Amino acid sequence: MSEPTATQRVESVEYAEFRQRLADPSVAVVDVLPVTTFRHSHIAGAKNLPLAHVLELASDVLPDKQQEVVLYCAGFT
Amino acid sequence: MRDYSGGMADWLDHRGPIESTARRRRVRAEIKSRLLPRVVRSKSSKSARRPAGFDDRLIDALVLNRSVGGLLGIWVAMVVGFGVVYWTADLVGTPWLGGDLGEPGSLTDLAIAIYFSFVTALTIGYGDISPIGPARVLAIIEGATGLLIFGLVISKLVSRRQEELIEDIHRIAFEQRLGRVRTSLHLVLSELQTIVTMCADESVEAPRLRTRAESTVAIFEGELRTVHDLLYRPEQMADEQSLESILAGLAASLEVLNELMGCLPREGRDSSVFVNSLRHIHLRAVEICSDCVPHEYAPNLADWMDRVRVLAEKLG
Repeated sequence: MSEPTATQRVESVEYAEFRQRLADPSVAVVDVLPVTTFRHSHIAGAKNLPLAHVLELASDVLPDKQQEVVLYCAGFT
Repeated sequence: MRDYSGGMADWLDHRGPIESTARRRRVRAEIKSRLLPRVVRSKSSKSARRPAGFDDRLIDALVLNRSVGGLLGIWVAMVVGFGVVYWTADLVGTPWLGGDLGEPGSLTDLAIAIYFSFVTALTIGYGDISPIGPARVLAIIEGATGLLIFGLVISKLVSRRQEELIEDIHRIAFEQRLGRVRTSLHLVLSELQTIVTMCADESVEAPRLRTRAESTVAIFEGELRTVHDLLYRPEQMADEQSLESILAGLAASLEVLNELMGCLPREGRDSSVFVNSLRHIHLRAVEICSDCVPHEYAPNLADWMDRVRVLAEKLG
């Protein structure tokens, strides 16, 4: 997996647009919260990639490096 | 790569679709209170097992969700309304009230009708003005409704005090829990240090070390799970001081645990219980870092969390 560079910009997406893109199968939705929280509840269709283990699990959860990815977390940091 | 910055909190606010792979289904209100670190008022206990029927919802909308002032306002409006009805009936011809009335249609008559209405709704019933014919039915309805609403007002006032008490109880229970975690971590730390010392002393046999290590590590795992919960699913926010000392205790215990791993002889480490506990400790502790937890903490706390994480990685 390519090293994340410090200069990479991550754009933010709003609820309305995100909700629309959710139906699109080419978009991967990734939940970066830990497994226990993910199991409790997560956005429908999201995959789990806990931030703590991102380096180990990233290539398994997101094998396609060209795929568009939207991340989310708990939302108030 | 994009970031849905609103996160779970925004998603839930918009009521977006959620899935859960947890085996037990939980109430929606509980989900919100778990992910958001606010104290949710226990008013949302309408998580009834059976779906609320139409009449339940009607009662809720009309009555239960109003404030005390609102209910009293409704009561007064009802009484005055009934008074007007009695007065109009008198106006139209059929006398509905017997007793010392004023001229039909006059303001005195209206005043007397409203007076009768109040006397009925408050269930006083002097009897100086009494209902005749159809008015009797109305008067009974008015009496019953007035009583009902008054009962509601009183129960609302009482339950307000009860809610305050319940919040107090929750807060006290939470603080006690924090205290217990701190104490347990301290015990774990000192026990681990003892084992390390015994380890260095060659004369102690491995099986003894192993049993002590197993039980200590099991307790450590339990406390770590509690701390992890406190950080990730806080029903209330712990105060900074307690949190800092808990994290410090955690970090210290992890350090000594690392030392122990180095020193424990091969047979000492072989039990599957031990290895399992270690694995769980590693997994959970690694998730305690300032960027992972769903809340902003003060920089000194963030520091401790990062340190815990670094120590946890060494354990792996």
